[in-house]
Amino acid sequence: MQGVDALHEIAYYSQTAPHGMGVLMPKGIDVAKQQFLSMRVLPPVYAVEGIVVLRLAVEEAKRFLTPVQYEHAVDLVKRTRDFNNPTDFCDLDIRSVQNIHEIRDKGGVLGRINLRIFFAYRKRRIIVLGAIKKEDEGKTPEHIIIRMQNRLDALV
Amino acid sequence: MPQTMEHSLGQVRQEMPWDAIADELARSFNPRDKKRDRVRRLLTLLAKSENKTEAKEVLTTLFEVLNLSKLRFVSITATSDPEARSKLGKYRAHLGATIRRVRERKGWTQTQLAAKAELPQPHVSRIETGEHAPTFMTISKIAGALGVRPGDLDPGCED
Repeated sequence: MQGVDALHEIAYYSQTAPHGMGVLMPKGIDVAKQQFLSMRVLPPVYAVEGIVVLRLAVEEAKRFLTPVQYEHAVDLVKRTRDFNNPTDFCDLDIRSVQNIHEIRDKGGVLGRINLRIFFAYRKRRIIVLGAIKKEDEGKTPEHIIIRMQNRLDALV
Repeated sequence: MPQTMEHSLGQVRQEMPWDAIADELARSFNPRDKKRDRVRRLLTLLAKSENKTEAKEVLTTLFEVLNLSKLRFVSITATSDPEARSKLGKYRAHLGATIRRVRERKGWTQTQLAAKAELPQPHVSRIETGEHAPTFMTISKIAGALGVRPGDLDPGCED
C-alpha cells in the first residue's frame, strides 16, 4: 500500500511540476499504473479548449520548412490538445522557460533541421507564438525567448 | 563580407557605448513597461554577440520588440497544403510499416513493444498505422526497445 501511495505522490508531483508538462515518470513504474494514476485518479492540470496560431509564427515556420516538414510541424502543434493528458504527451520533448513552452523535434521528415516551436497557455487556449530552426542542440538563445515573451505580452 | 570588414565591424560593436545607448532608449519607455528591460537585455546581447549571424538575429528581435503592433491569428488547419499532407501520410505509413515489420520479426506484440519503449500502447498502434506524428524522441525510444538504430527505422534520423 505504501508503494502505491509513493507512486501516487510521484504522479501528483509530476503533474504539478512548475512547468506542468513534459511529464516523464520514473523508469520501472509500469505503463498501466502510470495511466491509472495520471488519468483516472488525478484531475488534469490543464484543460485545452483550442489552439490559436499567430500568423507571424506560420510565416516564420514556412520560411525554413518545406511544405511536408511544415505539415509535420502542424501535427506537433495539434498534439498540444493533449496538454491536459500527460500520458499522451509523454513522447514530446517539451521544455519550459518561464511562461513560454517549447516543443523540440529533429530528424525524420525534418532531416537536419532542429525545430523549436514556441507556445503559451492562456485562458484554456494554446497560443502558438513562433518557430525557429536551431543549428545545434544547445539551449534556446535568450533573445528568442525575449521575442516570444514580447509577442505573448502584445496579445494580453 | 570580407573577413577584414567583419573584423572591423566586430571592433566597432565592441567599442560602441552600449550602456549609454541602452539608457537613452530605456528613457523613452514607461519605467513599468516590460519593453524597457527587454531592450536593455537585447542591447547587452548585441554587444556580446560573437558573430554576424547572431548579431543580426538579436537586431531582428530588437526591431520586433520596438515595432510590434497588431498581431493576427490564423487557423492552423487553413495553412495546410493537401498535397504535402498526402506526402507526409505516405512517409508515416512507410515508417509505421517498418516499425511493425521489425517488431513482428522479434515476435513481440504492440503491448510488449510499448512497455519496453515506455510508451502507451495506443500510441504505438497509431504510429504503426501512420496516424500519429512520431517525434525523434518516439523513434529513439522505439529503436532503443527494438535494439536497432533510429536511422534503421527512419533514414531521416541518421546522425
